[in-house]
Amino acid sequence: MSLLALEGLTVDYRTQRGIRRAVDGVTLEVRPGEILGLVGESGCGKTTLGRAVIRVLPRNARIAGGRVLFEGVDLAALSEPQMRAYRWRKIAMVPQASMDSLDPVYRLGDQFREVLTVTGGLGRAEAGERTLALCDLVGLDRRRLASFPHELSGGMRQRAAIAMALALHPRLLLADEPVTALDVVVQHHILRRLRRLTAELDLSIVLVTHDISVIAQTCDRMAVMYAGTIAEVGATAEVFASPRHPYTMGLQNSFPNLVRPEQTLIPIEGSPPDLIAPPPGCRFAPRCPFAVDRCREEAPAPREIERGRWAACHRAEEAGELRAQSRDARRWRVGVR
Amino acid sequence: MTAEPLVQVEGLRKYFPLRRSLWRRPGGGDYLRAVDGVSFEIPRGSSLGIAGESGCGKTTLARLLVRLLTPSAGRIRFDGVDLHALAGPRLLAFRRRAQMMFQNPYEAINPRFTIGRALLEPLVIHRIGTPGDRMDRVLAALDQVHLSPAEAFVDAFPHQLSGGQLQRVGLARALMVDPVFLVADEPVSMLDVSIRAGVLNLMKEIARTRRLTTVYISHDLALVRYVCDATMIMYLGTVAEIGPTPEVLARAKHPYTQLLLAAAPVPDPGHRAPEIPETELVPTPIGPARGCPFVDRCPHAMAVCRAAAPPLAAVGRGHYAACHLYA
Amino acid sequence: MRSGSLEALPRPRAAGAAAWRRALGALGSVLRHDPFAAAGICIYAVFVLVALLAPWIAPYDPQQTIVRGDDLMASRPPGREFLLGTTNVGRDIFSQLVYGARPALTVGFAAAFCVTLLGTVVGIVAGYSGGWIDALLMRLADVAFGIPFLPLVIVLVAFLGPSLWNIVLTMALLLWKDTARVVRAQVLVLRERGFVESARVLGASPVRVMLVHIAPNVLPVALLYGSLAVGWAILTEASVSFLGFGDATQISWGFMLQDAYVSQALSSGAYNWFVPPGICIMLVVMAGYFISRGYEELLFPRLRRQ
Repeated sequence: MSLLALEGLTVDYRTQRGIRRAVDGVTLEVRPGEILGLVGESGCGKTTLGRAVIRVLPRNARIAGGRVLFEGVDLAALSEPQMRAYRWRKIAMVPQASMDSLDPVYRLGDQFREVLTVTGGLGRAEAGERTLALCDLVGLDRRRLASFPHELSGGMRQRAAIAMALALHPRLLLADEPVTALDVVVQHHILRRLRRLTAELDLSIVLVTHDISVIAQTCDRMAVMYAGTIAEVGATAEVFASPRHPYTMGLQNSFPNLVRPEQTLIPIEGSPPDLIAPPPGCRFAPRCPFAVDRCREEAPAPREIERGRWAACHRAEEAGELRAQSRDARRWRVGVR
Repeated sequence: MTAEPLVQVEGLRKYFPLRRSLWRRPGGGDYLRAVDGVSFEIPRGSSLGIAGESGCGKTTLARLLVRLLTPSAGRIRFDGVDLHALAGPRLLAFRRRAQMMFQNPYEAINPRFTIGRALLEPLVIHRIGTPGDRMDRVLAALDQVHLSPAEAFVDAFPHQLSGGQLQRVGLARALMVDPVFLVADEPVSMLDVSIRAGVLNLMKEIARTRRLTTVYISHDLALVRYVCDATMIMYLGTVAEIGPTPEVLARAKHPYTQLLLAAAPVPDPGHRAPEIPETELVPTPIGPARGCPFVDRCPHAMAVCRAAAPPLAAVGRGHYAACHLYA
Repeated sequence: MRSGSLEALPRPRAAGAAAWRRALGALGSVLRHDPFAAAGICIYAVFVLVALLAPWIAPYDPQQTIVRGDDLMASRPPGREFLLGTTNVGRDIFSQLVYGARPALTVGFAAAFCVTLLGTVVGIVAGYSGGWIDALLMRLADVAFGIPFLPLVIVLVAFLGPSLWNIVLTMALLLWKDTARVVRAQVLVLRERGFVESARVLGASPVRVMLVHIAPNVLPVALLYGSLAVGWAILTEASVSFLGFGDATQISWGFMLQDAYVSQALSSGAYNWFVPPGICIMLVVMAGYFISRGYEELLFPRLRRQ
């Protein structure tokens, strides 16, 4: 039983050049108490996907299709007032660069009290207690509540932003790049905290990031996004050990690993397609070393290759052989071949 | 290598005055000590990686090395000559030999310039080549950074290119004057992961074929390992540890280096990172300097660490650490 | 192709043309959506045409005392012969009005040009150099801010002699400060941008950096402040002339007002004499303001939606 289930979610942006389909028919589930990592490059639609779930999209964007089932209720079909009962109370969000979103003229404690009493409807005393509990939860020194945001480090502000999101006991937390721009030590601690929170609060987290090392160390399951579609989904350990989609293989090839013996990094040549007029067939085909004619004609539908492992690739069954070839840098020079 | 190092840095300091010190002048506390007494050498043809957390002074150091900033104290000798003393034609000659790659590829090229014009500019400034053959040089440079067909890029504007392509243009622009020294400040941190490797490989290849001496600034130790022969770890404007890269990463001596390595993210779900005690400390390079800058976060802190700043002590072959544990 | 596609790139010349078309398109859309700016441009166009074609439009010499037979055509009401009537010494008001457009526009555009040039140069030099040069220039700007405008113009014009060019000169000396400040603020931002640093690392001289990399990026803002100066200059010229410090050999709207005033046209109810120049001054100043506003929205499109 999943907490959140996306069924064919599609999000369109109106732009001057035409409709840009940023999220194209994404089907995905989030289970209770898990951290699901959503990884992809800039512009792949991962942020839009997170925002579409609680419907805080820019004005030129709209959910063009599909369902967002949260505890069995289709959020995409709710009216705006109905939706408000879900935001923050049941599904909270830590948006990108949220650590810069604290109001610089108020002390941290006052900002907590403000949201807890006004939006959360708590009494003053209760709000005070809750604030202290939240600080302990995210590992923020209680004395910091008397500080102004500019007196805090980036890590502390990020902790404060996470605490704020957790204030009303949500079931699901959408964290968009929560540790980007933070130093590695702080990053390490915050990711540990997030892991612990899922157990302590029976919370599910969707962690949106571009960094597969963050996924590797934090997430139970992961979904790889490419150009608005899901390339591959599965348990983190399995996806890392035996990627089924060539894009995932390419990401692994291009990411340095400090622990393993050194090996040459292999880039994925080219760039993602223009989502206003994407090419027919698989979105990744133009950059894929293993693309065959079928890939350029027919878009692969996501298929469950083995239990819990989904991949959108025509050649997912040959993944073992492709993985072996994918270590060869020459194969990836797609355009030159 | 028998020749003297290309770059010798001695006791380099860069303090930025904080605004409020205009009004009251207490003893030296109102400076941001971005670089605070740094000494090292860069042998010819080698690559040095400078790593550390944000605010450790690595970018300031990079900008000092190409004389975008002038030091508050200490000096940089480039090819035996004091960089700070250069002026006029000799400074221009230095500019021809030392070049820089910037962090933000979208910013490094004037948005009103075409790629061709941006690449021609260095040739015009340094009067390289004849007006007739300059365009050939531009095309050759584009080809060398694998932007082909070069003709298609010459008339493009920066906003029409992707980040990875622009960073290649940035590299090509730096190479137009045929430098011997290249400083790269986080050249791939704003690029997508799948693109990074391409730019890094290109930088490595060009540094090797042209025998460049390079400095690579990054917060990512994994990238430093990939690119650099030697690694220098900075903490609050000082050198914590320096040495050959495999040595520093495999046998880290300074507790700060050990902390960075323990916390470094690894793209492997099987990797178990060690427990690191959480601290709420905000290290700050403002205020009077006394003792070891790392003392408040250090698990091995001793009395002497608060009293005196540790000197760089040899802990291995060409490997030095600034820590009282080894002094 | 090894590093990604460039299929989206338009051809080079087409790129230039496209940029122009975009700029013109934006201008067109502002004009369409901003009737005030459109009206401003029409008003300016009309006045510029009138000033250029004055000898053909004006039926008489504006300085000429018109005599018919033995009759001095003094204080004639508006009619078929004299569109706006005549002054108390028999000069044709309509002709004066037409010729008056010349000094107004000359002063306006010349002053705006000088203000823009001086302000931009000072702003760029101050902002890019920093240090004592910046401090000195900005203190000068503070001084310019502190000086009361009209009295100084009067003193200077009285001292240097009444001529249009002296008015332009004093305007330039006093109004550069606004442009300079805004340009300097922009330069402070630009100075830290990557492409400026990159040019410095490449060995570009300060003059080259300022001219090639910074100036084109501050020009739009400088022009905005220049366009505001047009209205100011016209108003100032009118004030100075009205106060009697103007160039008496040249008919201007301010001079007409002063002439009407000292001839007691107000008390004798000769509205045809002093209302038209007043309206002209108002129209030109308003038009300048409308255009500046529209141009500002073009520069900072976010303002448009608020």
